[in-house]
Amino acid sequence: MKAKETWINETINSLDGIERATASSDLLQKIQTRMVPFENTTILPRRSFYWSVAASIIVLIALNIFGAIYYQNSQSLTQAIPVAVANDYLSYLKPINL
Amino acid sequence: MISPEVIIKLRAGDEQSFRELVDQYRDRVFNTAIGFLQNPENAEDVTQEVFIEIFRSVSGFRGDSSLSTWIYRITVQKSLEHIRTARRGKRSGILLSLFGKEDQLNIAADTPFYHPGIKLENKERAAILFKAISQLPVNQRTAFILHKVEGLAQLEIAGIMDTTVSSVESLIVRARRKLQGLLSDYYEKNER
Repeated sequence: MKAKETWINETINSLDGIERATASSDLLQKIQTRMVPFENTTILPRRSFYWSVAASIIVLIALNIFGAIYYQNSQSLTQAIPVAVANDYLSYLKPINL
Repeated sequence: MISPEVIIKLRAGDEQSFRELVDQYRDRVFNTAIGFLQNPENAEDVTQEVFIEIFRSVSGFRGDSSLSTWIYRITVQKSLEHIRTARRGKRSGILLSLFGKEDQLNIAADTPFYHPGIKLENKERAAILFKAISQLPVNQRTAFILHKVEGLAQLEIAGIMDTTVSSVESLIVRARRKLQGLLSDYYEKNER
């Protein structure tokens, strides 16, 4: 039990006397390299990007729905035309037969 | 210590002042980041991001807190952000592995971390401690790392975490208690 407590305390205290880790010597150069594209580019925030994707999907779905409705309407119209033509034709025939 | 004149020049985008700032804070930022990320490559990446963020947002620095507090705050935020992103990547790793791209995941959570500033005789134990630190709740972890790894005073940590000194003290005590529990479990499994 005592050995365990000693081990735990020694482990927690193992950071005593820690020295600061040092960054690489070419850090500034790397930062400057990464900063160059920033100067000429407009960055789209991640949230805006997700909103743009969502809006595009909604527009796509809406266009598909409108397309489907339009297609359905045009189909029923084309089906209705021959009936109308036939009716007209018969309506002209009726007086002749009389 | 960065003078107010340098801060004014920084706001104007002066390159020489930025260089001075990087020179003065590079190791503090890197050491804090490495405490959180436990990986030198990731810590360097975060260090670069921190300075880029400083350069881009220094015009908005009003001086309510000291420059040092502000820089540490950005470092903590960026480090935690990096950890969250890595976790999200790890979760999607199952999907990636299905398509044979598991090599894209570069998360070394299970590899021991040897902090370069630890005394040689303490290296192994510190590696075990760092593994336990990574399991602490975020607030306790932040207070413990800033205090024990970066060596900041509780007053300064309170400024960075935007809380009171007594809260920081309490966080460090709770972190220590939690670490004792985690290390006790580790001892039972491995050292006995």
